[in-house]
Order: sequence, then C-alpha cells, then structure tokens
Amino acid sequence: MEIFKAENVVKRYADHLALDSVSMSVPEGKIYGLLGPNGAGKTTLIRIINQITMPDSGKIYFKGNEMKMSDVQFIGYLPEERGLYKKMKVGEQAMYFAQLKGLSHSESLKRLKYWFTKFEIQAWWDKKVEELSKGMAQKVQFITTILHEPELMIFDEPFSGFDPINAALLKDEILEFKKKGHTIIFSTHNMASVEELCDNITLINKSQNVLSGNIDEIRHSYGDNVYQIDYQGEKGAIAHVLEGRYQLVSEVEEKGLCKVRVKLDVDQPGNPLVAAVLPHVEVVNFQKIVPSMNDIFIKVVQGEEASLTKAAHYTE
Amino acid sequence: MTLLTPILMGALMIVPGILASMGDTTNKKIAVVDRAKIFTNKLQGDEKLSFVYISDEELPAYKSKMKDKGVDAILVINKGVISDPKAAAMYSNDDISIELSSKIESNMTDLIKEEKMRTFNIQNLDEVLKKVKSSVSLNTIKLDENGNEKETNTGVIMGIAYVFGFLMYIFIFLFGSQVMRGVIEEKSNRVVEVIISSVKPIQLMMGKIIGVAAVGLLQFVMWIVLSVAIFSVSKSYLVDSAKSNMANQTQVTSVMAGQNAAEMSEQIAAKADDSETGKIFATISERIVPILFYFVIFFIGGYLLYSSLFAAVGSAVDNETETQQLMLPITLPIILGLMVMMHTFQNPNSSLSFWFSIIPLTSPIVMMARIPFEIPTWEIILSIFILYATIFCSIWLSAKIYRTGILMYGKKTSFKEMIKWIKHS
Repeated sequence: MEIFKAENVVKRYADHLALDSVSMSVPEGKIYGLLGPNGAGKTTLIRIINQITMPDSGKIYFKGNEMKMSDVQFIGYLPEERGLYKKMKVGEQAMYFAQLKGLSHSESLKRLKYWFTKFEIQAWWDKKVEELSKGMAQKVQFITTILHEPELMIFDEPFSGFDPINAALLKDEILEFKKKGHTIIFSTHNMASVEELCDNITLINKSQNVLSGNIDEIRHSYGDNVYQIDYQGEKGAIAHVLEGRYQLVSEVEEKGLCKVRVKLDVDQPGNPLVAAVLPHVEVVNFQKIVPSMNDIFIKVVQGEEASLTKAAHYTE
Repeated sequence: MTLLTPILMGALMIVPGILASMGDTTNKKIAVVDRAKIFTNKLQGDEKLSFVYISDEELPAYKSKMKDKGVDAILVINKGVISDPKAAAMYSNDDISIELSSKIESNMTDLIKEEKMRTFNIQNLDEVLKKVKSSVSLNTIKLDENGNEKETNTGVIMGIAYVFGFLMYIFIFLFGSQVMRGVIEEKSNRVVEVIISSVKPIQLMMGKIIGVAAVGLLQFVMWIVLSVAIFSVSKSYLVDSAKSNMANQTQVTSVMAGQNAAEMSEQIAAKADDSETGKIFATISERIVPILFYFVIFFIGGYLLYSSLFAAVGSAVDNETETQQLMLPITLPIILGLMVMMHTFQNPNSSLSFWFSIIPLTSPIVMMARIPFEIPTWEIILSIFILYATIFCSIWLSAKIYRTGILMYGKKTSFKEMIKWIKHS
C-alpha cells in the first residue's frame, strides 16, 4: 500500500519552476530517502506533502485518497531549519505542539513524560528554549514532531547538528518506528545514513525526478560489475592471471596488502575470477563493489553516463 | 507591567501639573520705594508675598545688600507712573518669576485705576469701587434641538477629546507593532514552518491578531478599573480640599469686605459646587460612558485594520530593521490622523474633521476626538460600518501576502513583489 503518491506535480513560484511534473510513490512501512542537490525542489515537495503549499497542477494522494487538509494530523514534520519559540518553556511548548496536532492535554502530558524520560531530558521541562544548546533543542523538536505518533514522519536533515551518540540515538528511534509500522521520509545529504536506513529513494534534480526506486536495486544497477580482491603479496602478482581476460580497474598496495579492482563484463560471474586467482596469492577479501549512494548521486547529478550501466526507472 | 503602566502614566500626567502649579513656593519679600505716593501700604500681599515700604534714602543700601536686608526684590515706582506705564522697575539678584511680576503688575494696575478715578471726583468713591469689583467666569451652555439647556465645559471636553484621540493612536501603534514583531519572530526562528504544517496560515495570522487584542483589551480594562478607582478617590479628595481652600479664600475676602458669618458660609457652599473642579468632574462623569463604549468599538476596529497590515509587513521581511521602508505607508495615515485631530478638537464639525472621521484609515483617531463633542449618531454609525467593511478587505489582502511571505527568506521585498504575491496566491 502506498501511503503517499504524487502524480505529475507542478509547482511554480513567482519567477521560478520548483517542481516540473514530479511523480513519487512512497510505500507504507518503509524508510524513504528524498535526495537531491540544494535548490532542486525537495523542500517544495515536502511542503506540498505537509499541505503547507498546494501544487499548481497534478494530484497528490494520501493513503489512497486525494489528500485533504485534515490529513496533516497523520503527518509529523521536522523542518530542516529548526525552530522553536525561544522564550517559551520547553514543557509548555511541547504540550502546545502536541495539542496542535490533535492530542488531548492529558494524553500529551503522558506521552511527553515518556519521551523526556527516554531521552533523559526531564531536567529541561521548565527551561526556556533559548537556554538549550542547538543539539538539545533539536532533541526537543524531534520529540514534538513524533509525539502524536504519526503514520507518516518526514524529517528534513534530521542528523545535522547531532553528535555521534545522539545521531545513533535518533537512528535507533527511526528504526523502532519502522518496526512499529510507521513510514518515514527523510531528506538528507548524508549518504551514509541513506545507505544504512533507506529502503527506497527518489533523487530530485533541477525540479525533476531523475531517479527512483529500491536502493539495493539501484546500487546494483549502477554497478559496473566490478570486483575487488584483497591479497597478501606484491603488486602485480596476479597480473598474468587477469591479462587478456579481465579488465584491471585499479591496483593499490598498502603495507603488504594489495587491493585490486577488476571489471567484469556484464553478466560475467565473479566465481571464475576467484578460482583463477586463488592458486597464486593468499586472498583475504573478495567482494563485489556496489557503488555508494554518494557516487551514484554525483554521477547522476553531474550527468556522467560514460561508465554507467544505464538504469531504467524502477518504481515499486 | 500592567499594573505599573497606569500608575506611571498617571504620574506622568499629574506630576508636571503639580510642579507647574507649585510655582514659586518660597516666601518673597519685596521692598517698595513709592515715589508716586500712591501705593504705600496698599499693595496686596498674601501668605507668600509681603511688601515692606522703604524710603528713597534707604534705596542704595538695599540695592547693594538685598539678601542681608531680607528682601528678594526691590520695586521702585516713579512719580509719573499714572501716565507712563514703564515708570516702575523691579530689581533683584535672582530672576523674578512671571507669576510674581504679573501679580504685582495687575495689582498696580488696579490701584492706578482707582487713582485715576479719584480725579473724576465721584461721590462715595470707596464704596463704589468695592461694588464694582467683579470677576467673570463664563458659563458655557449647550442648546440641543428641543431647546434644552445643558451646561458644558468646553475646556474639559477638549481635554477629553485630546486624551482619547491620543490614547487611540498609542494603542493602535503599540499593539499593531506587537503583532508585527511576533510575526517576524516566528519567521526568523523558523517555528512558523512547524506550525503551518498543522494549521492554515490565515489561522495563524488571525490567531496572533486576536491574541494580542485579547491581551490589549485585558490591560485596557484593568486600566479603566484602576483609573475609575483613582478618579473617585481623587474626586472626593480634590473637591473636598478645593472646598476647604475655597473656604479659606472666601473667609479672607469676606473679612476684608466686612461680611458676616452667615453670608460667608453660603458663599462657600455655592462656590464649591460651582467651582471649576466641580464642573470638570461633572462633565467627565456625564459623558464618560458612551465615550468609553465607542472607544472600545473604534479601538477594536482600528486595531484589526492596522494589525493585519502590520502582519503583512512582518511576513515580508526577515528581521525588524527591514521593516522601516515598508512601514511608511502604514504610519503615514496614523500620523495624518493625529494631525487632523489637532484641528478637530477645536473644530469638531468642520468638513475636514467629518471626512477624516469617515475614511477608514484615519477614522479611529479622528472620530475619537469628535465623539466627546456629542456629534450626530448617524455619523458614528456610518464610520463604524465603513471601518469594519474595510477590515474584511484588509484581512483578505494581508492573508495573501502573509501566506507567501512567511516562507520567503532572503529576498528584499518591495511593493511590486507583494502585489505579485497577492495575484499569485
């Protein structure tokens, strides 16, 4: 089931086309990555999902039905530019936002106590927001975002400003929510987190959806069928094995450990390569190199097609 | 703050008044050289002013050592003073207050008049003079259509009009800019994005406007309550003390005029009620209720109109410093209203006053200045109607600007931009 779907959404600001017929489909219960360079249109798309702005044309669906204003109660949004009322006390403010989303006073209080204890920030309840550090304020804001346990959670750059411990904490919470069946969309430039967390992604570039689909499939499809062999030995030890049959991509040696990358033809399996190399050197590592999202991002955005196996648009 | 402000404002208004009326509080002694031989022992002193008459020979000594002799000034009157008004001079080491010199001047003028009359050889001059002494205070009486008479006090009404007109100006500006500041704060600390993922922008804008209005009205009500309390307390205090002052004065003049005790107390009673203070309080109490009622209506109207404009301006900028340029078209009509108001409370029924009390942007201030003068009710109703109709338009327009502006950062917004937003939204 799709929790959210956009069909040919167009959004124009006074002098600039923000979204050019963008379509996107977010499956329920999975973590969805929304990627793209700055200014590509991600934030506009997120605002449309949140009903902050409306598309000029195109349709948007929430849980199968055309989206309406009241659907926002099922959505939680953490904007990239964090913001809270500086002079208001933390507890009071959290209660306010919870109630804005439709929770009752007592329910808000109960849940806030739970989360504040979980994050170990009970001491901040009566402090004014301006007394907190940036990371602390973000923790508070995260809590206010998810307090009403929305089915769809949208985080814009959630990890920015978090130290590794808090970032890990956040990751755990996100995975917890996924386990409980929530859907999470997050927009980020942090590709490592994308690889770690996301099931599906959409890459927006210059107002268009240029890449969409399941992350593993995409990575494999952008793969060059490159394998890496690490062995103890000297450089060039397996050169004679590769010559003529395999394409050498790169070879580095570090302290007696050699790392060789070999490109196979499309559909050429890796096992014969290993078998061919094994008798000659002590192999310590053998793996297929799947391109990182970072590389894919750069390649797609910069439009390089040279060594890429062109991937068709995958939609689930 | 709510409690402090009326006390401070009251102090601000009362203290200068007290200080001014205190005037010269020290006892002044004046040495008089009466070369014309008219004034000796006739100049009227009071508790703070006394005269001592010296001869010409003593003059130089007094001139050089005034303080040692215990006098504050020396009044030298030359012979020709009856015909030459400039023939008198006052010498002193310190500056002489206007109050003092005009007191002496009028005193001398009266005495010279008396002297001049003596030359006409009127019989029983002294008695005639006593009977002729009078002082007039004009009673202003308003005639309405039925020919009913009502005593009014123009000065007080003007005062009321001025106060309320000014109050309106202050309040609209104060609370309007509070709205603007709130909008800018929400925009600059980005909390606005979180909020409008839950509510519509116009709901946020209206919520803020109504919220500030509620705070403002609550403060205002508290001030009214406090003012009424202070008013009634001061009324009894002031009128009573005025009565006792009146009693003292009348006693003095009566003694001098040779009246008896019965006549004296009659006079005291009559004078107290008729006194300026009594009249002032009467006028205020009579008119205050409808004035307050209209004040609330016009305040709400003017505030709603201006605060929606302020909200639109706030949404278009990124911080308070950028508001200067955009604020201009909003502050202009307010100031214009103030300026017309200055004209209005002297001419409440001129066409200038009429038109400016109808035009929605200036009407709250100018109309407030007109209302104490009991103008026709239909004019007030018309003005209210137009005002509230305009409010709908301004809120509609402002909402469009607000909706786009609060998410727009970095661009310096001009009016052309804002018009684009309105068309586009």
